[in-house]
Amino acid sequence: MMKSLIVGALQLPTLGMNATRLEFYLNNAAKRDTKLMLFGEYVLNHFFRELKSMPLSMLREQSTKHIEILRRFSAEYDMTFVAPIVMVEREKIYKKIVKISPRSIHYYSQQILIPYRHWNEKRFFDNEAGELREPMIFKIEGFRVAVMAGFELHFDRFWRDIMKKRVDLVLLPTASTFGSHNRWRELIKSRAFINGCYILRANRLGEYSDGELKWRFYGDSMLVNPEGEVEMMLEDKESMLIEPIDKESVKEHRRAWQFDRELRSRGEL
Amino acid sequence: MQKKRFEEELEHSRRIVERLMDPEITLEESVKLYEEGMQSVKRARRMIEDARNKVEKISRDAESEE
Repeated sequence: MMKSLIVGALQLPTLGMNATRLEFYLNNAAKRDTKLMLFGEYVLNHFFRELKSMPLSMLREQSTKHIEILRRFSAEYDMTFVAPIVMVEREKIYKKIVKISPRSIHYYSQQILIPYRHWNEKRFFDNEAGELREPMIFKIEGFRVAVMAGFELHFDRFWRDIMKKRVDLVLLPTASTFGSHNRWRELIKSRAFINGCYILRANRLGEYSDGELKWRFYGDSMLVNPEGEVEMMLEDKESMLIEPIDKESVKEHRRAWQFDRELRSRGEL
Repeated sequence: MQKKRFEEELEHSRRIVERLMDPEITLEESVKLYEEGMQSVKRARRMIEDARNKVEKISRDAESEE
């Protein structure tokens, strides 16, 4: 029997403190037997440039409240959530990704943050810029799943781990804006094909104005298969993607293209 | 009088929490409401503390009279 897993991505702007909207989507996802749900960046919290105007205690409260809500829904719907979250610890602010399953909770600290003048997460957050480690990797229903922050997709270092650990699915939460649609689509499709894995991307919605320019986060959440083909893509409206992934497609890709075998035989993995 | 003010303060906090739950609220409004709510909670806590001190004083006075 073909081994499959139903995965989902929520394409939303920043959620308020009210859980009703989330409950509507999750209830629907649970009815379709979804086991794993991905959120975009800055959905549980506001966009990082907006966080500057928030008291730290309010930010802490916002994250605590959302974790509490997700823990409750995880148990209720027997679903694992992966969601970027901003954590306040000892007056410092960290950009992390939380994985909440019905039985446990784990955090991954983003290792490489955006360092540009107009988008400087590296300066804003207190994440340690140390030696790089592998992304968060976990197993669910026989599938090996990795999580990396959107910006980290650009770095080969993490993809070596994906291939080495024979990851079946990479979860990629993003906050892409401006006119980067095509570049992201091509990057994701290429990474999926070269590394022989599914990639599920959840991109946030919403707008941010810096006074001069309006930043529009455009959605385009998608599931790409190991052949580098888009299986499903959302447009620019609030919505939810639910799709099955199957283990055989990953195995078949590895058997046919043998990329990882060539590297393993040379001791490169 | 004190009791009524405390209840008013609690009601005020409750209304703030309700407004914070509104999904349409802007970030600016929510920050303002949060700060207002924290002030309200602080005042309510102070009232509880004052009331506790009064009760303790009454108990001490009663004990010393026995």
